Amino acid sequence: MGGSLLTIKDLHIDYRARGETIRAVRGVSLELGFGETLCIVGESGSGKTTLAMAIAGALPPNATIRSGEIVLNNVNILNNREYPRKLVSLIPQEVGSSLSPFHTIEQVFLDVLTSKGVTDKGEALKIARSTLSLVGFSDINRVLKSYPHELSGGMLQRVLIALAVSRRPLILIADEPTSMIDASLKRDVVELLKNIVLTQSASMIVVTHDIALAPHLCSRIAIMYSGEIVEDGLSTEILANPMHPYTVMLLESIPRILSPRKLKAIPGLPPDPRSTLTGCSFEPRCPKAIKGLCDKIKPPLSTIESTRRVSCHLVQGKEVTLNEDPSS
Amino acid sequence: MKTPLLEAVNITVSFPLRRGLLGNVVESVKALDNVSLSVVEGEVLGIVGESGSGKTTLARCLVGLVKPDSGRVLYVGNDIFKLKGALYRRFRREVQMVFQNPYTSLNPTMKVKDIIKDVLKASGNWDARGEERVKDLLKAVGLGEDVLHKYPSELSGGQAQRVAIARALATKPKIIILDEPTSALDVSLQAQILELLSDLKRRENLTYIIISHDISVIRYISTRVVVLYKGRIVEEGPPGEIINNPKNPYTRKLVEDVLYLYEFIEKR
Repeated sequence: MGGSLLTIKDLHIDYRARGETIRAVRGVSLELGFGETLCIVGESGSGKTTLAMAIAGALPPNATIRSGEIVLNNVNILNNREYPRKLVSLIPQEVGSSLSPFHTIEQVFLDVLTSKGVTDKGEALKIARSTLSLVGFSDINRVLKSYPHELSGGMLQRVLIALAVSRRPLILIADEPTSMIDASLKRDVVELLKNIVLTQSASMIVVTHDIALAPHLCSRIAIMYSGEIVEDGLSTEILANPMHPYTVMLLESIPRILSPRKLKAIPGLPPDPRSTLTGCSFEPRCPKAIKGLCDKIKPPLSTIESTRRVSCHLVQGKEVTLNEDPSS
Repeated sequence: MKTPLLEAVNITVSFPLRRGLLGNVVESVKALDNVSLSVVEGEVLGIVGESGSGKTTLARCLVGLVKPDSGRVLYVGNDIFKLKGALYRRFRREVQMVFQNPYTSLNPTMKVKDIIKDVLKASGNWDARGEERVKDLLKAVGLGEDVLHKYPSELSGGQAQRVAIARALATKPKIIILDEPTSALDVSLQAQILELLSDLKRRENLTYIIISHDISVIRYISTRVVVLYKGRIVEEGPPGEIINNPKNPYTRKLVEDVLYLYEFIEKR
């Protein structure tokens, strides 16, 4: 691996809404290597989509990056507005509203590819055809001549994937590619994305609330909770042996079909995103929390094994003492 | 055999796709094709199907929101579309529905307190103890008095769905029809709501018909499962039997796909 493709350091992102500050991302650091695949897993409000939008350079206008760095291909993209956005392609979540209803798929491809610098129409169409065939279309002429409303939701999603791939990005970001669809379609999307990573040798970041699917899609998982990464590591290892209490409880709350057993729900709700947190963000819901430690001192995201980082006093154990200075 | 509480007998529903010059239906689609099912007291009947299978239309028929083109829906033996007077009011009281999206099924201009109060009044359960009863209902679904004066938009998804369940409970129903009650929620909240539904069933002696595209939810909560595909019932049986030994090709494919997707959860 030729070093890191993407490095994020202590990133903080706020939203301004109705005069209040919502702290969506609170100090995220992570790395992505060339050809690596990473799932950012979290529930609503965990900050996973905000993080992905920041990487894609597609944050909404009311979001501010308060501090931190996003370094892509050795360039800090936060200080460099001119840095080519085409290095990152986003597959949006909203399939229905992502394409202009007034343009055919062919026109959309030509627009996207022209902006990327492919000015020759024949060349652009060739790229369009090959990526449409990559995502599994056989009747490509019909698709190119169609308007978005003439295609089904599943077909539109494949068109959006093809559009993202056609720009030959270094990083492909998929935002909730499998939410709100049936199992068979979900399986198709999972297999399609897997295949694309293999054939295009791109790096991929998948944002999802569905931890069960993560090992199918990505080699690594980062679990987010209230704006922070609480655990990350290899997908299969995290599913087999979760370490952070939140990850453990999240996996226990998924109903199984072969060996059903009583679900253990996580009591309570995530903390208010407007609040400033002292201590561990999961402490109020954590059955193992230690009073005077977990509610006072924020656990750092520390490396436990060579491939695993966890932010929990109980996992890090011994070396933490009650008198430790939280700022050190 | 117990007499069914709620029963659908050969119901067929079609929706017009295209109308001609004179407004006559030229083309239509059958959402439900000759569907029969019944539920007895104390059961949890799960209906599983993909989008477009007709499961929501079936739910709407069972509560009387959609009148089938042919066939009948019976509540304790009486055709629900012919009920009048006290019998009709009893049906409306005893059969309740909880919808998928609590934000669209709760009135956004009313506070939680008034949403529940309205139902208590309409069902004739409002008396001197009314205010207390609102608090009791919220407590039964795990909500505190802090939500009384909130509007639905100020609640989280899980809280709003709890309010929708409290509203259904306000009429002291015998049977609740739940249409995708957890699919708009995160898994940790889904587990909370499933836990709540199981508790309520025991405490209030309820019967459920639960509709979902998610076979793991159906497997978890149901005592009997019906598989709906393209408007027809293709398989019916105990949940374990449907999962471990699916007979219909569609069910087999569904179970296979889910087992593939949840491979890493199942083998934990």
